[in-house]
Amino acid sequence: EVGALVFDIGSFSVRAGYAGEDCPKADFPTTVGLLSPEEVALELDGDKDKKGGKVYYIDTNALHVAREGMEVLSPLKNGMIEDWECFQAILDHTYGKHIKSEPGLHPVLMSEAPWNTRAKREKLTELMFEHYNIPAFFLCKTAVLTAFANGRSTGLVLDSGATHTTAIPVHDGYILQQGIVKSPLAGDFISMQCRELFQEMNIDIVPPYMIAAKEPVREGAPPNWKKKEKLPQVSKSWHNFTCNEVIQDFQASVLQVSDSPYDEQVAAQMPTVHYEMPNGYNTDYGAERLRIPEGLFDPSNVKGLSGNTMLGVGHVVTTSIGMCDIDIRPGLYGSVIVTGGNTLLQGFTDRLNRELSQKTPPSMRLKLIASNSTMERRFSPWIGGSILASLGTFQQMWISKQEYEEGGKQCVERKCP
Amino acid sequence: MLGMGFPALLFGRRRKTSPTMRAALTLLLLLAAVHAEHRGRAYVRDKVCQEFKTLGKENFRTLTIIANSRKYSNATFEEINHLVREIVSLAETCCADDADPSCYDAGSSALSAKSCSKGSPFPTHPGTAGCCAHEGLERKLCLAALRHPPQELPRYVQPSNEELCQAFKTDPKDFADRFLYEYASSYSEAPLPVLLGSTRTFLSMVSTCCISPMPTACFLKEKLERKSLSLLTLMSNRACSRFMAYGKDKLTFSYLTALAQKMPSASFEDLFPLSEDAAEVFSQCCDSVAEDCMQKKLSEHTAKVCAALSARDERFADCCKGKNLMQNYFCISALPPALAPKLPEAQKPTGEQLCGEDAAPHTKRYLFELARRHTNTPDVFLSKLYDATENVREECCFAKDASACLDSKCQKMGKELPPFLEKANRLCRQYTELTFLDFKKRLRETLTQTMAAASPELLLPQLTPLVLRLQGELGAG
Repeated sequence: EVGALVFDIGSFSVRAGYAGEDCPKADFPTTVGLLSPEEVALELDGDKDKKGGKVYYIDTNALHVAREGMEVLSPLKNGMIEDWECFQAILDHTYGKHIKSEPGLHPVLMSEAPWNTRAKREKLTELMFEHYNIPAFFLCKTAVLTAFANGRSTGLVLDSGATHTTAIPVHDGYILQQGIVKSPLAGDFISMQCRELFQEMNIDIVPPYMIAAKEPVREGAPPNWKKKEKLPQVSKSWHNFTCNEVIQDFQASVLQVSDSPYDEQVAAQMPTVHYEMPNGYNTDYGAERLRIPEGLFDPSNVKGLSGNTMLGVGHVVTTSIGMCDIDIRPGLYGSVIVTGGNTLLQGFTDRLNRELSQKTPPSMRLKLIASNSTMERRFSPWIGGSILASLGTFQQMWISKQEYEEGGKQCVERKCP
Repeated sequence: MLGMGFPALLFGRRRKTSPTMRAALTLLLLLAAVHAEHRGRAYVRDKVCQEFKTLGKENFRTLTIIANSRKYSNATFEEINHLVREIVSLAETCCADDADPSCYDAGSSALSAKSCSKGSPFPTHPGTAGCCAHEGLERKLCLAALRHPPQELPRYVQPSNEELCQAFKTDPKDFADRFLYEYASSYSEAPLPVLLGSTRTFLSMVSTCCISPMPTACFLKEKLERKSLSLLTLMSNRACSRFMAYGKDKLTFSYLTALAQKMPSASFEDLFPLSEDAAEVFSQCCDSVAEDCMQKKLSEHTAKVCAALSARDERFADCCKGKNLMQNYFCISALPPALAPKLPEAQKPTGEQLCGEDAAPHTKRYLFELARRHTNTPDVFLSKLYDATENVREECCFAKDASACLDSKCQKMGKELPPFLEKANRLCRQYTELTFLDFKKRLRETLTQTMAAASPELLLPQLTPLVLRLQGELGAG
C-alpha cells in the first residue's frame, strides 16, 4: 500500500511528508527565487526548477545563493494560491527532491486557508487530478487540522503567523465562518517595528551574504567587517528577504512579551540581552525588548497605525468568540489553541493567558492550549493532517479519482465542506 | 474493558440504542410520574421492576443518573448521587422475587418523606415545600413533577484527552458517573435518547482510546464518528430550551423571524411553512423517548430548508453543500443576519384581521415584515413585540369598543415602536459589523452626545462593563 501525502503550504513555509509520520519530510520557505527573463538565457546552474519557461530557485539552499537579477516571490497571497505557476513549481520540487516518488501513486491531503474561495478550491482539485494524476484528494482547513493535532475537535484556534493573527472558532471539526477575526498584527508587523528600531539606533542591517570577514569589536562600537568582492547585482526584493531573515533572528533571540501591560519603568528594570548582528556590531537591548512586541497586545500606542482601531491579540480572541452563539462559547473559552510561529515569541502565551483571564466571563472557564514544543507549534496543521489521513475511517472521506471523473471539480464542495 | 466491570451498554461499541434501553426510557419517564397518575401505584412498581430486571442494575443506574441530572440540572453531583443511590436501592430491594408487595410503596413513601425532611440530601427545589404540604400519592407526584430550569449555559467543557484518560484510569466508575452528571445537566433540554446516545459514544471513546497505543489518532477517529451526535446534542438542547420557554406557537414565530433575518428576500409564504415544520419537529421530539425521533426529523427538516432556500441564497447553498445534515443545520443556524433590503413600510394588520378568527398568521406576517426590515434586531426584542401584540388582541378584541381600543393601542405602538426597533437594530448591527473597539468608540460617541455634560474620561469606565454585558446578551439573542 502506498502512503498518503500531506501538504501544508503556509505563507512562511512549505511542509510536506507522509501521513502517519511524526513530522514532515520537507520544510522549506514558501518564498522562491525567480530569475528575470533576460538572465534565464545565461543561466547554467543546475540548482533550479524550470516551469513554463521560467527558472525558479526553490528551497533554503538555492534561495540563499546571491544571484544576479533573481527576484523573490511567493505563490500565496493572503494565505491563498495566487500564482499557480509558482505553486506548481513548488509541488514539482517537493515531489522530485523530497518525496522522490511519482505523484500518481499517492493520495494527497492539503491544508487551506479558512477563507479560501470556491474558485480556487475547484481549480486546485482540478490541478491535482488532471495534472498530477493523483488517486485521491482531500482539502482541510488549517485551523481544523491544528485543533486535531492538539487532540481537539472543538476550540478557538488562535493562529499568529507571519502575515496575520487570526482567531477561528472550530466546533466538532467544523469552522464557524462568521466568527473568523483577522488582524494584521503578526510576525511581519513586529519585523517592521524592529526595522524602525534599527533605523532609530542607526544600526545597519547587513545580511550574511555581503560579509566576507568580520573582526570582533567591543560593545556599541562601529562594526569592523569586509564586504565580499564580486557580489552579483542582486535584486532589491532578494536583498530585502535576506535582511528580513536577520531581523527574524533578532526577534526570536531578543524580544519578549511583557507579562503585564507595558510600563516604562518596569521595562527599564528588565535584564538586558546581548545581541550581535552578522557584521559584528553588538550591543545590549533593554526596554525595547518589551516595547516592540507590546503592539501585538496593545496597538493603541503604536506609531503609524491608522486610526488605532486594530485589535490586539486578546481582543481578536474575545471578539471572535463573541460572534458565536452563546451556548458554544464555554467550549471555545475552554479550549483556546495557540499556534503559529509568531506565538513562539517569549512570553506570548503568558500574556495572552493573563489578558484573557480578565476578559473571560465569570461563568466560563478559560484554558489555553499551547504545545511546549517549537516543532509542534510550527507544524501543527501538518501534524493534524498526518493523523487525519492515516485514520482507517478517513478512506471514506477522500475524493477518489473516480468520484472526480464522475462529479467534476465541484465535488470538492460536497466532500470537503 | 468489559472485564473491568463496566456496564456493557454504557461502554459498549454499539452505536444504536438497544430495545431494552428504549423500553427503559419509557420507564424513566414513568418515574417522572406525571403519566402514572391515572394508572396507579402497582403499575409503576411493576413497570420499574420489569425494566430493572431487563436492564440490569448498572444500566438502570446509568439511566437514572442521566434522567435525574437532566431534571435537576442545577443540583450538585452529591445530591444527584444520593438520589440515584436511593432509587437504585429501592428497585434492587423491592423488585426481588421474594420482596413484600408493599415494599416498593413503603420505600417510595420513605423517599418522599426524606425529600421533605430538613437537611434532605436530595436536589433542592423551591417547589419542594409546597409539595410537602400534601400527603401520600399526591405528594409523590408533586415531588416527581418538580424540574429545574435549564442551566443558563452548558457548563460542561471537554477536558483534554490526557486529562480524560487520567481521570478514567484513576477511577473509571466515578469518572463515568461524574461525566454523565455534568453532561446531562449541561444539555438537560436535549431529548433523553439523544443524551443517552451521546454519552454512551463518549464513554466508549474514552474506554477505547485510553488503552490505545495511539491515543491521539484514536480520539480523533472517535470524535469524528460522534460528530453528528455531538452537534445533535448541542442543537437539540438549544432548540428544546427555546421550545420549553416559548411553547410551539411562539417557537414558530421565533424561527420564522430568525429565518427572515438570515434571508430577508424570502417571502412569508416561503418561510412560514418551514418554521411550522421546525416547531412541529421540536414539539414531537423534545419530549420523545423514540430513539431516533430528533435525529431523523431534524435531518428531514434540514433537507426541506435546504431544498427550499439553497437555490435562492448563496449562504444557504454553502451551508447545504455538505453531506452531513446535522452540520448543515448547525451552519444555517450560525448564519449571521443578512443586510436588510430596501422595502416599503410594512403594512399594518387591520382591526378585522387582528380580531378575526384566523388572526394568528396576520400578527406573524406583520412581525415577519418588521424582522426582515430590521435584520439585526435580536429575537428577545421581537418576541416581546409578539407578546405585546397578543396582549393587545386579548385586551381589545373582546372590549366593548374594539376598534377604539385597537386604535389607541396602535397609536401608542406606532409612536414607540419605530424608534425602539431602530435603536435595537442599530446597536446590534454595529456590534455585528464593527470590530469591538470601533463599536465601543461609536457607542461612546453616541453616549457622549446624549450626555453632553459628561466627559469621555468619565464615561469610559462605565462603558466597558456595559459593552461586555452587551457582548454576552446580544449574542444570546
